[in-house]
Amino acid sequence: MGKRVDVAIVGVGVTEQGEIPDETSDEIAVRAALAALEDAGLEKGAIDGLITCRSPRSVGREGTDEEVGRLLGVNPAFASTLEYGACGFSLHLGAMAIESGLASTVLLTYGTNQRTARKSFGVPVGGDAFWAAEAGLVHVAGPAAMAARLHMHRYGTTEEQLGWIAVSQREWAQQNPLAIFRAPMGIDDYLSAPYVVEPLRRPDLTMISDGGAAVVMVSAGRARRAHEKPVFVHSIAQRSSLQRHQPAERLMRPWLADLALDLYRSGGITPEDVDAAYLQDATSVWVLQMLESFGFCSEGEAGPFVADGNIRPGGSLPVNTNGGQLSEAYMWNWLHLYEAVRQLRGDCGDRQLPNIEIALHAQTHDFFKGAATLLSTSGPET
Amino acid sequence: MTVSSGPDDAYTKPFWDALRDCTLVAQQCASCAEFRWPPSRLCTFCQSPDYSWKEVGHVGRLVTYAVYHRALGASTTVFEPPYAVALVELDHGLQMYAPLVSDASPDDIGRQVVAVFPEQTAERRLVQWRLLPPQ
Repeated sequence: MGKRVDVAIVGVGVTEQGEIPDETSDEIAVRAALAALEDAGLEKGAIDGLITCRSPRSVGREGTDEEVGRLLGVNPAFASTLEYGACGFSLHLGAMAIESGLASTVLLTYGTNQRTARKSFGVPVGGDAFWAAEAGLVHVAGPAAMAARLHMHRYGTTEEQLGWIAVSQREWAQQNPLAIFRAPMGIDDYLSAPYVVEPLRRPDLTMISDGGAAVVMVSAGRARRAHEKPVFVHSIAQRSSLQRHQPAERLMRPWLADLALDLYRSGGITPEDVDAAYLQDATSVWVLQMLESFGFCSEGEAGPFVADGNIRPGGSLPVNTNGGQLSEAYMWNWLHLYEAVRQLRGDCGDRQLPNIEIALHAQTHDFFKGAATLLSTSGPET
Repeated sequence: MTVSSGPDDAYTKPFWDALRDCTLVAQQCASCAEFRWPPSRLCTFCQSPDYSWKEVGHVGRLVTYAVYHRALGASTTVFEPPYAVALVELDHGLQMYAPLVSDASPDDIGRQVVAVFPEQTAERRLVQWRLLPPQ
């Protein structure tokens, strides 16, 4: 379902990305939180809501509100932790906390030292892990490669077309000082990269990295007093596909189109109104699918759409202007939100998008569930 | 190639026993007749715990596949790259992932595959898929 909401983002903060060898995930989360509070012009005592997000393969109490809240030294009225808090899910929980009245000023924070800690991602995705491992189907790259192959088979998508996703995002990343991968990469470079899981190549997959990001949210009514340039959370929607008994359909994630419809309907927005899209890209295949699901092109047309340059700098639909997870950092869509907020504020300097008013921010938990948000420069009272 | 041992759960024993006889079986729900794969104590359609093991044939259709050129699971991957994994659709709409031992090309999607049951140990056989010649 989807809903129009009246909340706003009034602070964002990040740490450096890549390798942070001397800090725990929770220390990184706290450092990001302090940066977001500073951006919001708030003392930590103003926070009455705290939402933390456990990073992949967390151990013990790592990443919980108890641990992060203790380190941050706060006693918020509302505190919660998402086991899978890819940014949009945390953002929605924050919106719910504010709309319900359980909190008025909510801090969301995420930190991970997954690269330094050498967390293993070479495990099967989701449940049924024993049977997936029996088949050799480990790492999200496996099912993503199968989805890409199916897309190629059904719609004639080519490897070169798919390559334009990673190449376009790299072009954006070159302008982003926070991005880890900024070296130029053309389509020929892409095509000469070796396969990891055919038909996917190294640039189609996120590289594991350390980093932190945090966000401060308040009600829309308070937003203009809280920040000179608030960014409004316009509409939110979620969908799931938990039963997952039909593998081929699971790979194609047709329920993403329902998620998009819920979001657009609740917001009274159409794909044509979206000025920039921030699509979580654990693999390039996720972007391929979401361009279609969210109505930026028709079903099966994402290959030609990206090959025609639509998502490159100067194209008709800027996508992942931070470089995305493929080129910036593996931050579960948190840096996509950081980028979207700063673009909507007009804070991006040389790479500022002209005339941006509405941005889409969407992510999925692999094949299981999705969360999507429309962000806007206009609040309810304007 | 080495493979981890099968589950000790008594309820999947009929599956492993069938593999030893070069037969593929899956649970069919006793309440709603849907087939279950992977094995599950509860039916994900009607939540019934009741089922019986039924033969599901040994010929299927290649839905899609992926070729691992690198070992991505240092601790858990038991296959040496390059190796292929297939998504195969069997009768009853049942779909399962298993190794594909033929060299496949994209044009092979939709082709028939046949199950093969290589012996891993004296006690255990595996299920893998091989492309059938075009009809």
